[in-house]
Amino acid sequence: MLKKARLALFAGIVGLAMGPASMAQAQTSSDESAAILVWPKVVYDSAGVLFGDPTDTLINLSSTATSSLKQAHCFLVNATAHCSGGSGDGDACLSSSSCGGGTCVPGWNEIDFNVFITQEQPLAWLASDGLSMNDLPIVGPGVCSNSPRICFSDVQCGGGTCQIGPNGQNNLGTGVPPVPEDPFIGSLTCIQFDPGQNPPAPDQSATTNALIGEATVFTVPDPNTVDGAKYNAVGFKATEGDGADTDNVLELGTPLDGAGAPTADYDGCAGTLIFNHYFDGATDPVATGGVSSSNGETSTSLTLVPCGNNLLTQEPGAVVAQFLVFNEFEQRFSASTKVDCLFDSPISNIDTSNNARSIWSAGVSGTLTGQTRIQGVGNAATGTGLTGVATLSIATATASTSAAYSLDQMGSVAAGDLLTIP
Amino acid sequence: MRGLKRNPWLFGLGLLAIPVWFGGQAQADINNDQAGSLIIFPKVVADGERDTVIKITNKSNMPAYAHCYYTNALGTCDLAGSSCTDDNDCPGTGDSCNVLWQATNFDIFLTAQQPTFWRVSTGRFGDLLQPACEMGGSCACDVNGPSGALECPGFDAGAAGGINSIAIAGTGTDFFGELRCYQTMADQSTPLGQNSLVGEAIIETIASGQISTYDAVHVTGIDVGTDLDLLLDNAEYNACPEQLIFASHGEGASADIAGVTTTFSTELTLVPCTALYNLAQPVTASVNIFAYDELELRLSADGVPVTCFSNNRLDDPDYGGIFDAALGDRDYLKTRIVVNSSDICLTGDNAGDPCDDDGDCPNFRTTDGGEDLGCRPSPGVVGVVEEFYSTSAGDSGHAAWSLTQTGSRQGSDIIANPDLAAGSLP
Repeated sequence: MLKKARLALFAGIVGLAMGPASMAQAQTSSDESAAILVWPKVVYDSAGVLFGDPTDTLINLSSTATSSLKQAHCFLVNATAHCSGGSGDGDACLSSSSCGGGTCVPGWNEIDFNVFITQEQPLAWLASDGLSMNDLPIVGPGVCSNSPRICFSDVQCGGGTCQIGPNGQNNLGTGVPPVPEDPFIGSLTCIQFDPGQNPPAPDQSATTNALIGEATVFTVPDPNTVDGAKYNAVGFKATEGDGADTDNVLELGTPLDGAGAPTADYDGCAGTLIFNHYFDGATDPVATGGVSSSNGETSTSLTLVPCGNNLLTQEPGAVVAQFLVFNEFEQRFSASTKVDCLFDSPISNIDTSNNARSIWSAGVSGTLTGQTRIQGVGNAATGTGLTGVATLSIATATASTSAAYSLDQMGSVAAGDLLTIP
Repeated sequence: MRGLKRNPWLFGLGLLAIPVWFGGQAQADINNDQAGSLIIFPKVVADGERDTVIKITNKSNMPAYAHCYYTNALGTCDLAGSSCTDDNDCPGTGDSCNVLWQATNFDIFLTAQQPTFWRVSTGRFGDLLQPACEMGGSCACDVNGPSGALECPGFDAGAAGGINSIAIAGTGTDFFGELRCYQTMADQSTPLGQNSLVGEAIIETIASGQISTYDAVHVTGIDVGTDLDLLLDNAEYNACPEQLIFASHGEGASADIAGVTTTFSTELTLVPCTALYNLAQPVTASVNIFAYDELELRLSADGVPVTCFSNNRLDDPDYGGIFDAALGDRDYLKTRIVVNSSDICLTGDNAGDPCDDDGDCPNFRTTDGGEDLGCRPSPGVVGVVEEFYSTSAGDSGHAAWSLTQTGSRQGSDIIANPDLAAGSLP
């Protein structure tokens, strides 16, 4: 039946007139510097309790500013769930099945901190360690402006200024705490602030889109093997029209004004996320023929976070993600799930706990690869935008190997999202 | 991170960096996360040790056609006979790398919303009788005996092969280069700016099963003409970036990762945006590379050539050691790749030399669409980065990621296609 359908399809589409699609472009990006960065997936699990193997995340945050100190005000969201009741009461969990009769209750809280980055500076820290004072690259001592004297502060310079670091820029004031628990899963959002303002406020200068970031999720299945899955942070640029304002409600994308200029503080979230993936349970084509040490079974994890959050009242964004799934036969399936603060799951567990029966299972979809389109809906005050990252894993003879990649974006959320900060 | 700890007293000793002002550039318009009408996979490997799976999907509700080119940058050392991508890979005195930069082309066709994939070394065989996967069974490709291509459940994307034949030809296991596909009308030749294509690549080390993935570079079509010259000029297609930025460990840096001492090595792959498929002629771009450490110390490598395809670890002699982690605590770096904007002769007797106008480029060529390939701005570049991890037991995992892009070049890059119907192949 399918073969006939394919032939008919092939014959039918030949000769169809084609024209350029008139889709609006997405606003967020993973390949340009921006004023807000979101790392959707930050994990730490020293003993492999949640993720099977010891896991840690290296966060990279760099400034592209060529002449000024930049401040990133960052919010580390802890989305680790814990068992309530049962033999695992209080333990971290991914689902209730590991709670020994108890229930896996989602958690959500955030901590915030500042990072000061000098011009062109790269910074990096492990989620497990953070960055303490002793780890900071440029903290002094400096040299007094009025004499060649070593100093740590202005008071030591007798009326002069203590110049610490090149061009007087340094990392003083930076403190990155380690993730608050082990195991940990959560996300990180950093907003570019103007270090010259008192009180601190989002950066409105001409170099406001100066942050770039990546994350590498390291997995160490044994003392001889380090596996990394690296992805670019998702960036929101301050808009050229309205620009970042100084209040604590950051508007991420809204309709254009009458002159076609953006009225929001920052560019908005993608209206639709698209990702191309193997269906779970497919056999890696490179393993075909028996030449690879991989036994080749594929699985893909999808991590989604709402673009909007109320960090002032500690109310996470809550969005219903609607999925459209296409296989190579152009057959379409759909599903939906709630994204409450953070969603991280194998794709074949999005619609069922029985992976083999999922629409993301290769056995159900019928082909090895598929395209999934994700759209957020709902009526949360924080908006319906979603962003995220995908992680492909392939089973090898002894463990598994993984790699992360960005979700492609299309259009923008019509109503925008709100990120409220303390 | 412990491995990144610095001695603050270094600053008391006057270790000051020199800031560089790059000015405020406009944002780049090509991207890695939005569909395009031209997609570039800068790094495609099928050399027997590693293999690549290409994934392309059609995000639109219309069928999508594309014309694709593989360019093989793997050559042979004249004396040693070993594989190479540039002269630095041939260590013997007087030895050099002989690369043909051979391009091979093929077509793909995708129905609405269709995803597809193929393994580069084997290609994919179009077999209507290949049954779809079923619940409870395995979902795997088979090897087509005569051809060695993979026969996979699903609707193959090969447009030229038809039924029960090679849909997408394999490259074999002697390939290291790039792949680029531009969207076309149904004739598989005339460019179309439908912006339907999304691509990713998975590079796998066959012996270990370790994988890296990266998003293809997507170039948006704006007002695409029907001639065979694709102009990346912010008018027909979006332009290539002025600068590329990435952060990485210093070459040879070590850090403690979950209790395991891990050493980092990074490989940078760059390809010129310009491609002259009509002339089967490699194009050379030139870039200046600036590497900043956490102390803002800047080191640079100037005039680094990118001829057709450049794939080097960061300790390659072309980079002059600026990435060496042992060179003053350069454990962690941010790198800017600045495209040289001076004019060069793209073709002609003085190809690759600086020029002021076409008169400096005698016998320059012209495309079938009438574009002069004389004195033009030096080509832009795009690329990808891959990081390799090793432990005391040897090589381990690897991961790839996209370069950050900034600025937008002004109308310099061209992808010139041969007019196959007119038989204009060189």
